[in-house]
Amino acid sequence: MTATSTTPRTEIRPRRTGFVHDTVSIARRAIRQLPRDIAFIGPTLFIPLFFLVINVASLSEAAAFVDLGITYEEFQLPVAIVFAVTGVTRAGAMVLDIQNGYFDRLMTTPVSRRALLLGHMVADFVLVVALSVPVMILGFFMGARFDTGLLGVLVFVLIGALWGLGYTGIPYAIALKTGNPGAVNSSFIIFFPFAFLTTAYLPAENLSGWLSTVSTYNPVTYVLGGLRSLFTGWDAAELGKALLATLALAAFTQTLSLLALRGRTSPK
Amino acid sequence: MRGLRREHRDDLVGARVHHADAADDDGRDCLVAVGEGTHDRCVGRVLPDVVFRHRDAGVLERAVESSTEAAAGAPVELDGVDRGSRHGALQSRRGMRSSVGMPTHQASQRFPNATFPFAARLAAMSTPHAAAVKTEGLRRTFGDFTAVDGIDLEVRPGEIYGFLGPNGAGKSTVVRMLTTLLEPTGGRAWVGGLDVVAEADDVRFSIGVALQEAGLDENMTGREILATQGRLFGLSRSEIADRIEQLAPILEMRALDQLVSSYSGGMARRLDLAAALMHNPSVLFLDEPTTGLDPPSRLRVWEEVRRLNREFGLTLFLTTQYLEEADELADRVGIINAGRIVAEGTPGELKRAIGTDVVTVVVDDGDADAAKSVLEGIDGLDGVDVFGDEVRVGTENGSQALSPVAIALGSAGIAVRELSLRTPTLDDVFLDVTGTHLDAGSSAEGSST
Repeated sequence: MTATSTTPRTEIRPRRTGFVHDTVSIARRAIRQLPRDIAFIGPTLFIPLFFLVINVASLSEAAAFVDLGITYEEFQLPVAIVFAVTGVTRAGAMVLDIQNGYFDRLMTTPVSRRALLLGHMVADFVLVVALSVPVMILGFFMGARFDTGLLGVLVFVLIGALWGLGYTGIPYAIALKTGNPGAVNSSFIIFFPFAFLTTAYLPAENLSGWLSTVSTYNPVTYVLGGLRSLFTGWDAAELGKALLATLALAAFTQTLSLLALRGRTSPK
Repeated sequence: MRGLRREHRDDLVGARVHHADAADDDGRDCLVAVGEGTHDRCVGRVLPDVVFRHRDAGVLERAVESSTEAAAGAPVELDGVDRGSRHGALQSRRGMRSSVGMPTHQASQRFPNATFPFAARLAAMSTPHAAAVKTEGLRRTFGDFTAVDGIDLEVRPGEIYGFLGPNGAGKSTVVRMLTTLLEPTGGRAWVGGLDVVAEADDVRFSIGVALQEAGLDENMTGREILATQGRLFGLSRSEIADRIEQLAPILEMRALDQLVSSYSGGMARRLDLAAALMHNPSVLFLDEPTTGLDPPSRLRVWEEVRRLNREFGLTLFLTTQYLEEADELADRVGIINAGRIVAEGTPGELKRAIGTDVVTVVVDDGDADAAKSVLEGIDGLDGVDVFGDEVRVGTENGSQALSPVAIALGSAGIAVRELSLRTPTLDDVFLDVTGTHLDAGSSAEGSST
């Protein structure tokens, strides 16, 4: 056995880690993959930029008859941000993990099961913040200005990112439940009622009939209201409602995703 | 303790144990260690209180009695050995529990001075041939379908156990249960003495797993996959770097920083294997490790498997549908069919049960039973069996049996389409116990003739 004399001995032993350590490990991996997934990021960025330009170009004159309190560019920038951050998720990558067996590999490690989900969501948070940057730049280029200054801009992006993070529970729940990439991709459709049955184009007082009623129950209405308030000053009530709406959605969707995670990771 | 003076060989602590080799003259196993200063030589006897396996992957953790003393052959009792800091360190490394294949109360009776719970583990592990993997009545159903139907098996530490069977036999289901991915619906299983259901999290520290589909993310580089794996097992940055260097013989180091999507099937499989080894497990599960690989890649994986077992003392549980793979690699083979183990033993034992040689006669349709009657009248044949239009004859001396077989069949007017002589293969064993061949693909590729 000549090879034995060169065989490296190892004293390496596995050690218990914690939830935070596991979350960071999973998040590092997910974040590292982001720039390699241009096919995903490209269209995701195109949609909000497209809607911002088109909506402003086509509707700003019509909206001149309405008292918005802010410019129509400013009125539309929150819509573009919500479009930029909603449904932006690594749930598709998680489905690929399930399909190619990498998820099983992770399941044979002692990693915290909840860290598998939260680690991806940390990457989602990084991504939505990154996607917000070009949208904000375009908004500034088009004339949007924040009376709340730089802090207002940061809060604007943060609320948008929290909303996006809250919404990710839906695609993750679908990913973990079905393991089907098609189902995850089509989960964006669920966002359509949220996106359009709200104050996306006109303020609440100008909506009428059933649309007015539906928009009252649509959390996006309050998120948009909170974001728009930042253009004119600090309005605790509007910001509070935006945060509450975001947290309510997050509580619901993340419960779904955790239940789906439990189903996927249970060895039953 | 009676009749045996202790003289621990402390200089051997930390040596890498190769394996407990074949029994020596006085019938006791020889502990062969390799490493600094030991270089593949017999350093002692496998005594009941020698603990060198489990999750420490073949590194000798305690001193052993020297060969000379052990030759006295006296039974050794555990007297609470080494209860000091070394055990404390082990305990703090991870939460050791008491179930190690032997119920705590039994261990307590046998080793009354042992300190529990760790000593119970030590005591139970010190039983001769404490199992690295053990199942009792393991069963798994999916609705009305029974995939695994009451499997009892035991894999000894340092052994390569081959689980051979056709597609759908239940091999992967067994592996998924043993690796905590799937819960049994009946029976129990232990890996490294740990219950795969009740102590699933602890089991995951002890095992490395390479499943049938290489579990790799094609959007990551090989190094990133290994690093992520290492981090999830708590390895530090420097440990990860060291471990990657140690695993270099398995890896394509030049391709380590390339995306896995650019890897060939063989490269991906070896990366998968390396990822399974990152945390230095004591039991490695390989589910069909060479399925889909070309012959050169297959041979390379085989060599790595042998090396891991030989040099690292790793216990390997591998499933395969390839006869040759089981024959070449496994110390013992369990043949599984329709969720049940139908034969088990070393490849040699299994094949010897068929006979030294096998004469196979293929006759025209409908003539097989007549041929069997004719051949049963010939002296010196061990057994005649019919499988379709094939008549298989076991015999101690095939070359001498050929002529009488041909003449007898010719005299009886039975047309012989094919007459061949070969040594038995595991396919013969499978045929013997199930009445069917392993699927044609695996037989054609795998059987050694």
